[in-house]
Amino acid sequence: MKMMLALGLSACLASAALIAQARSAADLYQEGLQLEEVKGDLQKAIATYHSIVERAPADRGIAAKAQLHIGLCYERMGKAEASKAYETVIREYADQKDPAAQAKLRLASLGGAAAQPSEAAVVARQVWSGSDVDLEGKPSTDGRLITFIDWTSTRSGNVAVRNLTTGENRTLTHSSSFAEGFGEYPVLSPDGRQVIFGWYNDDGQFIKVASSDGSRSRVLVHKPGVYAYELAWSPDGRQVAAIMDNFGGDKTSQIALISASDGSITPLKSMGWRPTSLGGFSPDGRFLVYSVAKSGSDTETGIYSIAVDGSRESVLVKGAANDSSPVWTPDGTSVVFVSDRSGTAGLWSIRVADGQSHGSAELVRPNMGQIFNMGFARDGSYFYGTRNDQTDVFEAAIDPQTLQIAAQPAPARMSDRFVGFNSGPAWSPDGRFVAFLRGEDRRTKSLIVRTVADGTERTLATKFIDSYFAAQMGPTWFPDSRSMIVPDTDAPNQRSTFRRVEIESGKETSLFEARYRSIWPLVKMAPDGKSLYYTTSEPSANPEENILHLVRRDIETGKEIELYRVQSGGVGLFGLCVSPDGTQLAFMLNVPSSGANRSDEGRRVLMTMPSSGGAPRELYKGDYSHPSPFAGVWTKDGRHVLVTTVDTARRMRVWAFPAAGGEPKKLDLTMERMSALDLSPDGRRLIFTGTQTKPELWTITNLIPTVRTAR
Amino acid sequence: MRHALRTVALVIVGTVALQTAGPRPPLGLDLYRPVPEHNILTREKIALGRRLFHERRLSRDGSLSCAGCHDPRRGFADGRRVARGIGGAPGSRNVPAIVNRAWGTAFFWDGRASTLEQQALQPILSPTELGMAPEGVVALARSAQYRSDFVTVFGAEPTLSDVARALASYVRTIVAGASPFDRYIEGQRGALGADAVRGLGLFRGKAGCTACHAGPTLSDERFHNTGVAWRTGRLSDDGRARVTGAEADRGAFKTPSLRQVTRTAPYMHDGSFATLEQVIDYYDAGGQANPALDSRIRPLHLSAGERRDLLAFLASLTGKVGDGF
Repeated sequence: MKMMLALGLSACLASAALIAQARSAADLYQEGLQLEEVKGDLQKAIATYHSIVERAPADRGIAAKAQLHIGLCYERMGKAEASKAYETVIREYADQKDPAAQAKLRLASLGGAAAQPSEAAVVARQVWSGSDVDLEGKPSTDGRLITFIDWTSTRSGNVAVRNLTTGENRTLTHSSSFAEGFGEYPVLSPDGRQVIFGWYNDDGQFIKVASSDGSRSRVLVHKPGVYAYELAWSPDGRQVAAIMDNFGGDKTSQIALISASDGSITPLKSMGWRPTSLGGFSPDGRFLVYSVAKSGSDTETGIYSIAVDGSRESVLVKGAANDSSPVWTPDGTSVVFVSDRSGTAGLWSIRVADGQSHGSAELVRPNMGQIFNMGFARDGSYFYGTRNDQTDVFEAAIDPQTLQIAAQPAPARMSDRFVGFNSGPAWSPDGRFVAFLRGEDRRTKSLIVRTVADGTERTLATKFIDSYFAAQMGPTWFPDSRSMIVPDTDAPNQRSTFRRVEIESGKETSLFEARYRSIWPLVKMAPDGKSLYYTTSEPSANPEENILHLVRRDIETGKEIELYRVQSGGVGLFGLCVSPDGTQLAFMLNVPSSGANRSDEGRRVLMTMPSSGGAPRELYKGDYSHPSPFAGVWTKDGRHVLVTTVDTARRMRVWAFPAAGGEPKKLDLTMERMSALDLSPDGRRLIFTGTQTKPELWTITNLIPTVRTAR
Repeated sequence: MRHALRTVALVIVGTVALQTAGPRPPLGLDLYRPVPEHNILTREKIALGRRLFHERRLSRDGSLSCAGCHDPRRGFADGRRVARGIGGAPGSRNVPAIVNRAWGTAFFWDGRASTLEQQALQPILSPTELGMAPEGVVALARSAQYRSDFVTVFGAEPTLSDVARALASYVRTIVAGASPFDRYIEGQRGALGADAVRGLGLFRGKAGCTACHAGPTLSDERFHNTGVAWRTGRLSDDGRARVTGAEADRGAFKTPSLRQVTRTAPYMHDGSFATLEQVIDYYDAGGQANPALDSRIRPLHLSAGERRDLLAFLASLTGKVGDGF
């Protein structure tokens, strides 16, 4: 009997071996990755990678990667064989550029690790750059992986994990549209086996947990009306801390603890309306660190630690400076945060013991700029990200007949002054000027008038309380090209103001004021300069059921006439614009798909209607997601309406809709965050606001030499 | 043996947590209960504070205790329009319900105290309230009935500030939560009737109540001029301006908690509204115009049905009240 069993077992094993041989190297490689990264069985992973190297030497791409991963596995195990494995990659697979480069990098890194801490240099290294970089995630505890949202492959954002050593990405969710949902705040569990993330779709937000190989996921929390963010695992993986907005139905925030097993929520501390940033658990799991940003008249700003059992709270840092984004060092002896206390944004640290600060804050690294403080890996490597956003006024040549965007000259920045801080262009009706906004801060933006012929620029004396809408939509010119209307908002005092600014004298007069929130600060002017068109809002008990009114205002008398009304569905009228002859208006509306009227995705309808009032005409209905509410313009011949829409999740595109109906035309012009479209009077030059970003992920080794690495 | 050791360890851990945080708050309140480091919560201190809270000898004529006005049976308020001191002397303001004050950051209607320790002795020493002299309070604390308890809790001869610390500790344990509203927010959708759910929508939306009544205590702990002090056409009470001297604070009062609101009538700082219906009608009409009226007070144009719904929601804020352990 025993003999028979042994024979049977041998037969099974032989069959398994044959099946394994039959499997492709690519399949085996995936299996190796699963063993290495998901199951953490490094020995078996190494065996699998070895089998690839031995069985598929001809497939040099896969073999090189397998050899590289042998080194990575040994490195994680702390074994000297790692160096040998990397040297093999460099020696045997020099023709395989990526694996060879990675092997060199790891080999150099291992050499550095051998040095004494006191001798180690502070080394900053860029580990990821390019348009696919996303900075919403966190590094894994071993620093090899980073979670992120993949905004590039579909028209939505999927949760993904990137191997920073090999550059390989693994997507854990598979949404193709915003309606299906998109991910937020992904964080790997301390053991690397799970990823927690927010998932947002038309039904609200879900907190989900997925296995890090993407094979399964579950909903941990779904509470209508509650929005959680800044998720952080406890070191034992049993709890997740989060900031939860609207908890209690009053739109205030709470720091809350979520059970990772059953999703039950324990509110730890209420934060009112104060903007709070959560920095995560201390390595011993006893404390959370968070920061409170300045807002309104609040003076309780600073960095705090709070005991997870609710027993106490301590101020770590408090003062007049802007202190934010706290993270723990891996040994729990310090909290590192971003502060402008030296005048510019830098990294600072404060020593912490038993949840309380000791000593005063010390400068760690000055002049970091606007960074994403992503935290430390267990070995002390510090991770941060930079976005490097540049928002400018761009100009593109367009054929007024065919609407082809000219390849030459390519779309380019209009002004080379204060690059990255220009927006909201509007071409004067006589074609001589382009007015736009310039500056970094909403309060200190300037109104610029650029003479098109010679490129000279003049700064007007206009001061803003809040220039956000002016910068988004641009000024509105009067027909004589001698003055324009600029909106200004004063949210604390609930006012929106529309001022007329004379470009020669700089003289300003208030045209009219309205209650902020009851008026959408986007106005368009009739070509004769006698009327303005804009949207007002009538609040409802449910903000998603507000009534929007499209109105015409007689500039001289101030009399308003309602032209059209619609339930807003949480969104407004998009891309409102006036035809060149002033007889027609165009705008885009949200179309509720289920009657709930709250979708910001769904389908859209482009409408035109007589500017004197009357029935609107549906011009086109389609899935043109997220048109910018600030971008819509008629072509000068009145045949098309140009509107910006989402192209991929990050980039927007200009579309041309025939005013007489028919299929829209996709123009060869895309850019991030496109808004404020306008055309030169001859219709040959299209100007707009666009953003170019160059996001990068960096690590710094030995940032704080005194910090011991965590075990 | 191992089981016994574990039990001892759990008791020790539990005791340490109790010393700093106190008993776990009910549903709807934060786990973190702000407790000053100089006055941590202990079981003995809370018990001492509770005794003092009900001690009539803390009034000059022995007729009143703290509980005489903050009656546990009435949501820790007294049901009168304005407070009554010793000898029946009327005060000028309504007795606030002192539930969930551990989470408070401003005390009294005008916020003249910023901690419970600062607040605790003021009514006792006020000539129009309990009318005690400081020496009398210390003498009571050092009397045979109290001295040993104080020494046990504070480790020294009792002082005036020890009385304040004991009272403040007890008040920190007076909590109200686990209301139908809290259960609804927790996910028990049947905890509120349809009218109360509609009322919640109004509370958050059209009526704009959450502009001030927010967070787990349903108060922003700030000061607002809703016009109540101007209803006679002139300012009857300076309110917050008594403390700050600021013109903008004239007639502003601290937002009261709405916890247990159906049991804490009459309402407003002067107790001038006998019912919640009157309160809703007042805000529906846009308050009373005056030079410093809060900009968020405006006519609401509520229908009769909406007023009923709002009332149903307010009723859902009454839950369980507990004190001590």
